[in-house]
Amino acid sequence: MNILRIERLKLAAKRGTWWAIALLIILMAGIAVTTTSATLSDQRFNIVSAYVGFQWLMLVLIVVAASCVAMEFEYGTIKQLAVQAKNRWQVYLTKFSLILGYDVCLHVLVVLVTLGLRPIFNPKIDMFANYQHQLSLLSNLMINSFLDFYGSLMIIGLVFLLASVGHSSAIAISVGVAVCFLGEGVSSLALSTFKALAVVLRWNPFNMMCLQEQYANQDYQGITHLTLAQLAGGNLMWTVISIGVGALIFSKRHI
Amino acid sequence: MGLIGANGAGKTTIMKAMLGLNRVRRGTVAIANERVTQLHHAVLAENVGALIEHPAIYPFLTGWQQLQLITKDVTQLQWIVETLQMAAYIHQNAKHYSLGMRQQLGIAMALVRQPKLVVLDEPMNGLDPQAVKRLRQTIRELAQTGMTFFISSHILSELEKVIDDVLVIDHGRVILQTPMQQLRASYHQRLLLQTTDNAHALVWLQQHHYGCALQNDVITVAAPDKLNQLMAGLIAQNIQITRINEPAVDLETILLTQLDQVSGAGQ
Repeated sequence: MNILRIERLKLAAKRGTWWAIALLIILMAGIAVTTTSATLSDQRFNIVSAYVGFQWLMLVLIVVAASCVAMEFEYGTIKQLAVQAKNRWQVYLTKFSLILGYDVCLHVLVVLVTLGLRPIFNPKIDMFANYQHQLSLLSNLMINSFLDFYGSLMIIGLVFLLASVGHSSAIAISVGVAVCFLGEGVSSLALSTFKALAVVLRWNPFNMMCLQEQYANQDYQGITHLTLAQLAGGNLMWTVISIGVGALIFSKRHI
Repeated sequence: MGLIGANGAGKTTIMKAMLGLNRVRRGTVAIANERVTQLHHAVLAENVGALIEHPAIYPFLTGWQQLQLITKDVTQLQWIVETLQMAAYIHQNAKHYSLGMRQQLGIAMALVRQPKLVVLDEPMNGLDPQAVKRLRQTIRELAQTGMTFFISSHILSELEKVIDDVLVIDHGRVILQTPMQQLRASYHQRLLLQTTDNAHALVWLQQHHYGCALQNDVITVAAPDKLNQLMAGLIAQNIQITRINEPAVDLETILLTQLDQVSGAGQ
């Protein structure tokens, strides 16, 4: 409990934590402005994808998560933290749960900001009208938000792992961003190139990032070679693996 | 307890091992009857405060926020700020701190909860003389309340003012572990004599079974129980005593002597 208090204090005291939120809102509002003259169909699409808020959110999350772990080695504060904790696993898992909490807050914020921007920039769109899967636009937005959150767990796990290896957050941020935005492409390229190995390759971690897209468009199954449930399971599996390996490296690292 | 030794002797390594930061290849570390390892050191959280190598400071926090990471107790926070006289800068962002201010903050973090054991690695680094004096007083006062301090320092003149016991290590091995009082007493039990006829005086002293040696025109006499008898004996030989004194021995001399003896034995 004490370590969680410490981590919360640090996260709240970092200006970047709050600036990132302000930037996220500004960027979402910027996208919302550009949708005013779009077709109603495009406007609905923009609302359900939270005015690109989920992508901006992921960037913010990668930066905050990477610096949350890497700064301890950068500033040499890991020594103090390790003495205060029962063991280093506790430090790592507490950090992970804190970032998870921040992740939830960001997703709630993105949904609320979307709901706030809609009447200003897209007043003709009815949030309760049917959209995909015989569900309302609002329901689709909520489901998208949940799927994005679910998918972000693996990204946080990977960023934590990378940040535990290096001395600065730069590498973890760079790789995290690359995986986040290029991962799906790399996976589909690998699956289409090495078709004979698809049975194994379809379980690669990058493929799991198609969860949100496959929910929106079932045709994605032809690319991922996995069902929606398999993608969800794979996501969880890679999250657990990355947390486990990351925590092991973090606890064994020479300080 | 003071931990002293040359650079690379293993002082910081020992301290890190005590805090579960290092893997211990041989032997075990136990604090309050609980074993401390890299993977399990729950006992440290409640009982130990430490400053190892450099102060662990987040540049985006103020000194006060930094101390809040250690304790929520405002009374403790105010006490340490007052004791180490940090009020003038404690609410400033730590990235603007000087080396001395950072060091003070690091010490404050180790002491603020008044733990049973405090491990300080080179605590006097970067401190001005007033701050060193304040730290010395604080350590003495806290030690009297039952807190144990384990301190390493290269500033031996300052270290010897606060420690009750000394541990000298060399290449990872303990070469001396003794109370300071006993150590000082053993080094004080000798006299330095200068006379008008050192050669004659040496012969007389040896004939009367005094442990003595002549070096650079100075005779060192070990543990003379009856000083009057010694002086009377020399005067009776028509030897004039031109100088007699009991050398003051500091920790530095003791350390150098010990290290010389160890390296001499090694050769």
